Amino acid sequence: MACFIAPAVEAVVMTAVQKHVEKKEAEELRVYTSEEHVVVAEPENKITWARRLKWLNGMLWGGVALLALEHVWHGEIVASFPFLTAVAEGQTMEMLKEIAITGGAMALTITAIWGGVCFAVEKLMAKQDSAVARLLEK
Amino acid sequence: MYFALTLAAAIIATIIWVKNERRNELKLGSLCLIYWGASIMWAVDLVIAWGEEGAAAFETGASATMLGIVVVALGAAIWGVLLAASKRRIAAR
Repeated sequence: MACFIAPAVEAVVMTAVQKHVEKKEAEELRVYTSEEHVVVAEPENKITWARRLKWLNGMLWGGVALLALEHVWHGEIVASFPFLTAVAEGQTMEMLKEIAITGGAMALTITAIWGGVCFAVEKLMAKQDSAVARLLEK
Repeated sequence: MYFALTLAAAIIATIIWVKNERRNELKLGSLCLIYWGASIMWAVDLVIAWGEEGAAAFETGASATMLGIVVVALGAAIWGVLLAASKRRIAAR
C-alpha cells in the first residue's frame, strides 16, 4: 500500500540530523591554515558521526526510492490526487496500519543493522589501534 | 523476484566494492547502500507477507522479474547521478 512512508519519514529526519552533525563536527575538526584557506581534517582511524549517519541515510533513501518505484509499478501510487490508491478506494485505515507495522518494522530493521555495522566497525578500529600500539611498543 | 534480483545486485556491488581500489572515487559504497537498503526493506516486507499469505508472497512471474530488472537499473541510475555530481564538485574545486 504505502509501507515505504515510514522509512521515508525517518530518512527526512535523519538527513536533517546528519546536516546538523556535519556542521558541528566540521567546526570541531577545522584546521585554519590561513584566513582564506580552511582545511577540515578528519581524524585518522576514527569515523565521524556525520559519516556514520551518511551510511544510514544512504540505505534509507536508496530503499525508499526503489520501493517507491515498486509501488508505482503495482499501481499503489498514481499521478493524480490523492496519489495513493488505498486512500482513493477508502482503505485509509488499512494503509495507516500497514505503514505502522510493515513500514515501522522496515525502519527499525535498517536502523538496527546500521547500529550493528557501526558497532562492528568501532570494535575493528579499536583492535587495529591496539595492534599498531603494540607494534610501536616493540 | 524483485527482492532476489535486488539482493543479488547488493551482493555483487559489495564484492566489487571490496575488490576495487578506486571504491571511494567511484562512490561504490553509495551503490551498495542503495541496494542493501532496498533488499532489507523487501526482506522485512516478505517476512510479514509470508506470515499472512504463505509462499504466494514471493512473486515469481514475468512482471516481477521485469520489475526486478527495472529496480536494479534505477539503483544504478541513482548511483550514476551521484557519481556525476561528485565528479562535478571535484572539478569545480
